[in-house]
Amino acid sequence: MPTGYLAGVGHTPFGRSELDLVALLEDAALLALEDSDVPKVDAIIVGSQTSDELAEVANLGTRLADILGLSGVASWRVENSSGSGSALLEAATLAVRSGAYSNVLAVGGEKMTDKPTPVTAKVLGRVLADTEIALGLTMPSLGAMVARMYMERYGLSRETLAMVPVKAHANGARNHLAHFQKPVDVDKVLSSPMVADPLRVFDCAPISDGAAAVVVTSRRTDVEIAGVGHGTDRIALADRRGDGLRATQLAAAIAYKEAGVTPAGVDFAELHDAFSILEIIDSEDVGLFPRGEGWKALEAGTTSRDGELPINVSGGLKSRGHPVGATGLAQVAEVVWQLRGQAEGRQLDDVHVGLTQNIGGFGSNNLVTIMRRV
Amino acid sequence: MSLEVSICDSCEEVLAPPRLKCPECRKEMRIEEVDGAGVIITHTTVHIVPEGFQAPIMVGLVKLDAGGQVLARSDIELETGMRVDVEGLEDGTHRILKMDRVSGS
Repeated sequence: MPTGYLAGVGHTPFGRSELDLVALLEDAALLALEDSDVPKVDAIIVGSQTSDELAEVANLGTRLADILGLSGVASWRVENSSGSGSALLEAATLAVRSGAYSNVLAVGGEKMTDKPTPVTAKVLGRVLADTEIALGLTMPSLGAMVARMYMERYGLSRETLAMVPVKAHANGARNHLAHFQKPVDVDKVLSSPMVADPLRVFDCAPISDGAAAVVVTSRRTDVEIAGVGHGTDRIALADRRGDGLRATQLAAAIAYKEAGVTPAGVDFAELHDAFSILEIIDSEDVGLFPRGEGWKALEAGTTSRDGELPINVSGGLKSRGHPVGATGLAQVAEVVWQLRGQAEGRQLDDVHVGLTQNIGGFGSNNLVTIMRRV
Repeated sequence: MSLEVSICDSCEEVLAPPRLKCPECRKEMRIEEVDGAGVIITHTTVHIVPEGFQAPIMVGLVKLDAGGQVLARSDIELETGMRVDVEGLEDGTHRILKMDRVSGS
């Protein structure tokens, strides 16, 4: 099968920004183009979960082509809620693999702080099932129920769960692009306000502005997009069966098969920790640890920056921030920097294969990407 | 109490509220009224709620004895493993009406 390569990546600072969404997308795109040696892209794919509502701007494809001086080039938008970033990489990879395009710019972003938080939370909650919305449930409510189920089933304690955000903040403190760059301790996590029992404010990724971009090319570079997997599950949490997130499990199986690697061949991973519990479940869904044992790896330090299998060395969604349309590409940017040896202040030693896992909706539309240094 | 569910004769899937087509195989689903008895699988009390709702919201995921699972709101503190009775409401949501602790199990 023809493959795709990453020629360049770009990533704006995440957090509260003075810039509007289009300016953020433009900045990330220019950084990615500058980082690549591709003379000209022949397609642009733009992503945002909800630009129309949160940023009150539409027709992103044309706007980006126009503002980047690329008017005339094919340009369209991809939307897969909080999984938009990885879906952009998938679309760009497929576009290159098909032979239709040689060099594709994929850029995703979100401007989330313009609206008051209750409005933003309501808009984000539209990704849930109608019955969940009617009950007054939000994303953290579902995260809380999943957290309790896992804790009771597998013996995870509330204190150990708090180690996810503690690790995230320790890592984010080394990432100059992260929304939060300050370490926190377990007490700080456990004394933060309750959102939905047992999840507290520090178990939840923040509302952030930001954008990230990549240039995907058919020409060989130093980072190959070795495998891209994508899966879905039923939209309502009550309608799902089995343990963990099926959408991730399906995506991971495809990505591993395409890449010709097994979980044992993965050196580090960027996982979708929108809620603390998800990092643990994700790590099991992508096969890095057996079911029910992800928390033991966390507790043992295996997933820490200096552990055997670092997870979310960027700070993850919790600390890097979570501008929903940008997150998947920010994960990819981190993997590329690590594989190239450019992750200043947080570089991992001797890494060859990196994996990203990005969730759309509440775990209903997920992607797994495997990248390899070549 | 009772509630309406839909049953897929091909997948043996039970879904509530009822729907016309099975999400797995697209076959038409059969709609049936079933008993609302079940057990709490997990639950939460939501303290930060969206506009238009009043905190706290207590909600539980119920595994129905008749098959399938529903999310339902509750006025009573929930605990995993509790026996509950679920009523289907007109707006497609569900309410937990009464409950007893599971005894001896």
